[in-house]
Amino acid sequence: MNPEANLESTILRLKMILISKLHVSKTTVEQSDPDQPLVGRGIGLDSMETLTLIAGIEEEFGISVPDEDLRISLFTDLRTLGTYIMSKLAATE
Amino acid sequence: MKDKSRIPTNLFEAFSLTAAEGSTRTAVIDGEPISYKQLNRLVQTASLEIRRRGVGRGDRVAILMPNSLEFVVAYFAILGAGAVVVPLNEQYQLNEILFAVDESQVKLIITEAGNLSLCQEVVHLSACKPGVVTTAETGGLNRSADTEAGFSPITMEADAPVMIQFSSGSTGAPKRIARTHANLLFELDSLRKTLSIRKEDRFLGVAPFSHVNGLVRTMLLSMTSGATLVPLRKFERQRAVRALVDERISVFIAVPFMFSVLAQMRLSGRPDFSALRLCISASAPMPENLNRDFAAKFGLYVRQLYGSTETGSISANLEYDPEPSLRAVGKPVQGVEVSVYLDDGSLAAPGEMGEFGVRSPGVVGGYLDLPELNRVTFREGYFLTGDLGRKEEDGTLFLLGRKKFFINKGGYKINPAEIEEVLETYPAVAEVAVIGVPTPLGDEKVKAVVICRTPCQEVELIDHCRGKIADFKIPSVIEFRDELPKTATGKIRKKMLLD
Repeated sequence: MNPEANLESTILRLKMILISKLHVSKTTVEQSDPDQPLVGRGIGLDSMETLTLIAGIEEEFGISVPDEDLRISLFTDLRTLGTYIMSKLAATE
Repeated sequence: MKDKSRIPTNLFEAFSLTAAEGSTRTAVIDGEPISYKQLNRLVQTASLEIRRRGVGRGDRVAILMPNSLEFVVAYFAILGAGAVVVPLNEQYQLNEILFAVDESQVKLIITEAGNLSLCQEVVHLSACKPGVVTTAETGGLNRSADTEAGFSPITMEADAPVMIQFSSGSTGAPKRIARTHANLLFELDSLRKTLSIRKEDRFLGVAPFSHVNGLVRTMLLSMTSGATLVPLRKFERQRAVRALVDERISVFIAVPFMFSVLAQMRLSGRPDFSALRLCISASAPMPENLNRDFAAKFGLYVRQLYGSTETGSISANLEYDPEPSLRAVGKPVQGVEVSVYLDDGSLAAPGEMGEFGVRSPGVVGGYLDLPELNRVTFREGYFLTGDLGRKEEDGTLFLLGRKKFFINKGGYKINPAEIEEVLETYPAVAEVAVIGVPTPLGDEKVKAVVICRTPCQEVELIDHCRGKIADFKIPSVIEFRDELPKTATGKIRKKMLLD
C-alpha cells in the first residue's frame, strides 16, 4: 500500500475512535478533512479528551505514546496525528 | 518538649504539631526531598514575608499555582499569618479569576513567575486591587532558609474561616463558601480514621490542589498526618505511573477521569504497584468497566468517595470485596450522618430514592451573604446536597443523579448558565441551551444546542468562548437546531435535549 493510502486508512481508524470513544458527532467526523484541527476549534477536543483519544489510539494501533510526545502540536489536525501514528508503527516493525 | 495530648484548635496548629512530631520525616518530594523541619522553616519564612506585605488576621490571600512544594508552603504560610486562603483554578481565564478575587476581596495573590502577567492584569482590572507576590519573593524557593527569629503564628479560633471556595450555583453566579478551621479539622480527622492513614503513607498529589479533592483529601490530609506528599504539576500518564512505582506511593486520591485514562493506557510489562494500598476516586462516578480494567492492571480496585465542597467528605466504599457493590459510594465516614428526604420533606424508607441531606461538624454554616438560600438549603440541621440517591438498610449509599442541573467535567462542576451567558453574547445566537452528555469515562462533555439568528459556524462559537471561560468549560459539541423543546411556561426541557 502506498503512503498516501496508508495515511487515509489511519485517519479513517482515527475517525472511528473519535466516534466510538469520544462520542464526537458522526456528522462532524464524517465531514472532517485531514486538515481539520482536533483541539478547540474543528473537532473540538479539550486537553482531557486528548488523553482519551491517545488511550484509544494505543489500543487500536498497539503502540505506546510517551508523555513527551503529547504536545499540543500533535493534535494540530488529523493528518499530523495520522502521520505520527504511522511513524510509531514503522518504528515498531 | 512536645505535648502529644495537645489537640489542635486550628489548621496551622495541626500542621505545626505534625511537623514537630515528625521533624526528620520526609514531608514533600518535589525535586529534592524536604523534611517536615525544613518545610516548617519554609512556611515560617514565607509567612513573615506575607505579613510584611500587610496581610493580617482575616485577610484573604489567593493562591494561583500548580501542585508543588511552593503551593504547600504558600497555603500554610497564609494560615500562619491568620489569613484565609482563596485557592484559584489554574485553568481559569482572566474574567473568572477577576470574579473570584473581587468577590472574596483578596488582599494578596501568591503565584509563580509564569502567571505573573495574568495576575498583573487582574490587579489592573480589579476593584479590590490586591498585591501580587511570586513564590521566589516569599522565600518559598529558598529551601535552605532557617527559622526566622521571633516567628509566632497568629492564633485563629476554631470557628474562623480558613478558606473560601466557590460552588457552581444552579442559577446565577458561583456561590462563596467559607470552610472553618473546625470544619476541616473534623473532616481530616474523620478521613484519617476511616481510611486508616498513617505517617508511613506516601501520597501522590496529582488532582489539582485548587479543588477540594486534591486540596483536602491529598495535600492537607498528608501534611496533617505526618505522611509524605509527592506533588505532580500536571497529570501525565506515564509520569504518574513512574511516580507510583518509583516513589512507592501507597495512597492515590484522584478523579475518575485520571483512573480511567490509566486503566486504558498501554503498559510495557506489569510495573511494581505493590506499595499501593488505597486508590480513592471522588468528584464523579467511576465507571464499573474501567474500574475492573484498573484492578486488572494495578492489582486493586478504585474506591469511590462521595463528598462536596459544602459538606466535605460524606462516604467511602471500603468494602473488603468491592466487586458486588462497585456502583455504591459506601457508608458515611466517621462522624457523618446522612438522611434521605422525599420531595414532601419526609424521610425516605431504606432503598427509596430521595435527596441526600448531610449533618456533621464538617458541613459549612451556609453560603456567604445568601441568607434566603441558606434557609432552604438546611433542613433539621441537615445540608441538602441536591444529590439524588438511596440508602440501603445497612447504610450503604448509592448516588443516582442530581436534583440541581450541573455538568460534571472530569470532576469539575460546571454551571451550564455560565456557558449559556457567554454564547448568548455572540450576535448570531438567538437562543442556547447547554447540557452535559455522559462519556464512557464517567463524567460528561459539554454540549451546546444553539438556535441561530443568522447563519454561523461551530468554529465561530468556540472561538468566541476561548479566553472568556476556562478551556474545560468550552463546549465539545455544538448542535444547531431550529427550535428548543419547552414547557408551557417557556422553560427549556433540557432532559429532552439528551435524547
